[in-house]
Amino acid sequence: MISFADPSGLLALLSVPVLLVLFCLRPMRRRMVSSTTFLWREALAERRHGPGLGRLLRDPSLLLLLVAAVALSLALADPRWVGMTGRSGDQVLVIDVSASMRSPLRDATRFELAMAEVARRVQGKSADSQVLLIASGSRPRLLGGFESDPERLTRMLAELRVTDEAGDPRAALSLALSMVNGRPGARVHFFTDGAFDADPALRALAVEFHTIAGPAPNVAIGGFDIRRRYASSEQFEVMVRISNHADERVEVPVSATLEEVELFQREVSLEARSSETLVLPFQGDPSGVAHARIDIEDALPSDNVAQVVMPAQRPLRVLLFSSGNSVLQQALLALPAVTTRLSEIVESLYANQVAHHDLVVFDGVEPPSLPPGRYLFIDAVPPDAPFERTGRVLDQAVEGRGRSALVRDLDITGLKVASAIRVGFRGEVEPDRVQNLFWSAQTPLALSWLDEQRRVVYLGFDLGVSDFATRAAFPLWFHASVRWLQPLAAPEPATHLRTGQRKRILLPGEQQRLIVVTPDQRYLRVPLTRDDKAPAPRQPAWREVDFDQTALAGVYRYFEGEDRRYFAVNLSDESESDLSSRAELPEAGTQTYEQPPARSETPLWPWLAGLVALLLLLEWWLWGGRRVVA
Amino acid sequence: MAMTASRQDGAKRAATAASDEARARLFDAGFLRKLERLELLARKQMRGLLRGEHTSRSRGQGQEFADFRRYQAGDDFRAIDWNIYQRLDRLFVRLYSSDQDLAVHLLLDCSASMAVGDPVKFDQARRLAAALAYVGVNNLERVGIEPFGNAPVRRLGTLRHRSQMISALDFLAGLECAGRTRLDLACRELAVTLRKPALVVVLSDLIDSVVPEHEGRAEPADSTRLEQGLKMLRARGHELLVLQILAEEEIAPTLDGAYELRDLEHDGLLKLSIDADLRARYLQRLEQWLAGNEAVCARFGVDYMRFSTAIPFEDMVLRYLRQGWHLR
Repeated sequence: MISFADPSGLLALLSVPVLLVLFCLRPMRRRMVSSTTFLWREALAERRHGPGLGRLLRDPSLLLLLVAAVALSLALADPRWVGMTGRSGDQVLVIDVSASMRSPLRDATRFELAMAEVARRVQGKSADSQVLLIASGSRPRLLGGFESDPERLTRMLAELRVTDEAGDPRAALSLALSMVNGRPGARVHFFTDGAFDADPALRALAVEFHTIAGPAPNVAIGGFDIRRRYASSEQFEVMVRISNHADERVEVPVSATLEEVELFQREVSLEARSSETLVLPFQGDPSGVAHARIDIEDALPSDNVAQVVMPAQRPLRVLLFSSGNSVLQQALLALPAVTTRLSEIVESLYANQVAHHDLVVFDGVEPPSLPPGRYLFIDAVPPDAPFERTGRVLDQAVEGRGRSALVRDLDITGLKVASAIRVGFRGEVEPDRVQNLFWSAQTPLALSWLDEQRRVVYLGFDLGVSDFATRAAFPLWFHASVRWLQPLAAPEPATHLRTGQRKRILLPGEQQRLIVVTPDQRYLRVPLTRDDKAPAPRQPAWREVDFDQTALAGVYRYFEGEDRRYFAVNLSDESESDLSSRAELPEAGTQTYEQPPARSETPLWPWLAGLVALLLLLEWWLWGGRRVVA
Repeated sequence: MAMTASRQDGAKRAATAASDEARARLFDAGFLRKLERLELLARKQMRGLLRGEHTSRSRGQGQEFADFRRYQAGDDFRAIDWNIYQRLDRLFVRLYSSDQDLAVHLLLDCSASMAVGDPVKFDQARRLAAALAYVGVNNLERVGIEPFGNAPVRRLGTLRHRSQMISALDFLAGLECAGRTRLDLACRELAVTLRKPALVVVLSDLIDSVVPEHEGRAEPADSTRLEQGLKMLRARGHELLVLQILAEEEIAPTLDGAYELRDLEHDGLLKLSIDADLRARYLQRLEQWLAGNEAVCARFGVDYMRFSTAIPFEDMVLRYLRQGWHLR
């Protein structure tokens, strides 16, 4: 097999048509008659006996071709003229668009003042210098490439908006410095309020800081969450964290609502530079959009409100085919949000029974078929599985366990089984589809199996003939197995993100369009890339889409199939809510940087290419221009 | 049979027409006027230099002293001028002119190599032959035109009267260039044919290279064939004049670039790129070759002259032949 370490070398094949053209353009030998050729032959023979190199070098045509070849080789090597130049006017302007830039300063916001300074710098730049704009939010964002046209730069700036994100100036400045690499004399300017924790590394960077800061007392909701209590699906807790970033004590009214229903309202007294966390229990259905508010006029309103979306909970529907198994029923009841229905197999209704349940459990009962779905088999062997019953074995002890997540942390050492089904594998087993969970010396005791449409967990013995059910490992294994069988049906946590964080959205496979409505009522169409369209193992196929335009705090909504879904985005960043300038940045112009002499690299290949063309033309003239026909 | 005869008549008529056309081109009215002028000039020259209207150029055993020349092996001791020997310590023999009837034979090269040049070498050679024949016939000499080459050529009887010049011009106009030069064979044939010593004028480019069968290309030329031919004629006592005619492009080539040269005599192809260096080497080889020819002629006491086709015909005759032995 032939491989190419550097396939770009095949580009040299492009020289073939060039050679063909040159060959075609080359003048043909002129035919002439001569009275005799012996004198020419002797002259030729004499020249051939002469010194080879000297003979060659006497031919000006060859000399020109040699020089052209050398020049062409040099051109291909991309030589550069390296010189030292003074500073160029190229600039990278990094604008802080984090939430703290929303805070007011004098008659405007910090962001507006920063933008005005940036605009002045853009308008005042020299005509030949270029400017690159970078927005510094939770992630750095390039507004375009290096641009010399002030009008285009102004248009870019006009589209820039301040966000509710927490800033990451280090990432933005790293990007900016990487962009000036190779641009001798180019400088980086950072327009910020300095409302981030002091970072000594930033001071060492070759960056001119333009700090727009002033006093800005602020009280913020630093955290807001709702969680269900494990004991009951009707009980939940609300957690609110309030921080005072001012230098004086404040009294703050705090309230929380869930779907316009007030959860609580109380007054919180906060000392200067202090925080307080409220955790309050409540009863009822916690699904819906919850808001927490503090009623105060401060420098940054966007962190005075926080949201949490609690998804509506749908209970896990379990169908149990069993002649009666109290241990199993207790285990199912212990799962949160589970409805269990005990039934018997009725062949005429079997397919319908299975289709209307999320999980089907066969306890000592073997079904006639295995349609698409999720199944737990206990002391029963699934049909159409890659393993089959081969008999029964007695007095088994667990000898090993697999590396599946279902049994990874289980303590099943010395587990005894009085009687178990003996199973054997049919043919060769695909390890990523069938996993042996644990086994005895004679047979696998527990297996997991999946294909495109089914997931199965198999336990090869009755819970009554083993001490498995009495061990602490059993509920863990059972819970993990149920979650693996029905991951989407498991209770979801409260859905909320921090601003700038990426939201992973799960969509049905057949959904071809995703539009997300932002808190400011903009409709964002999210492109579904090819990778997003790859079918997930679950049927129907699901796709995961990453949505990262979460710069604004608030509630976002979209459609998952025909169901409307919500997720909340909060600032929730104590550091960003602290609007005091504490980064201790040097002012622009007050710091001198040891900047090495600017290296300028001028590519020479265009000149060399021109020289090659000139030499070839000259050679052409020498070759065909001075023709004499006798 | 009648049809065959008719075809032969047609071929003859075509050949005659071609010959007439060539004659009109070669020997036009201007040429004939130049011949008349040349003849007058020749007479004037001879009157000034020689006593009689018609004196043979056969120097040797006559009554009247004509010239000195250096002694050569085989010369009669009685002709040595001992006075000069006493003065110069060198042997010279005295030459006398005789009044015997002089024969002039013009050996005209008709090989393919004569077909180049501007004007063509062969045309110039034919004009020169016509001029010499005209002058000779007007001086009551017998003139023979002997075309030679590797291909068969027609012959012309000896010219004795001025009236025969027309047929001589026709004959010259009808000649064609073909084949290779075999000067040695032509000289041998003439030497065998001539019974009395005569003046033999060789009109040729002297390009006489040999092609070995196994190589298929011309081997480096030297003057061996010329030497063999001259040796045979001189051995029979004939006086010789070699006129080498070369095209200007052969003497001073201006070719530059890539060429494919076809050798007219050997039909071989030579691919080469000509530049200043190669031209210089060519000229060097040409000089060596010409010097070899000149040395051979000098060795046999043969007058040798060469000229380019770029020189106008009448200038060639007057300026060169005046300085030569024939009109001296």
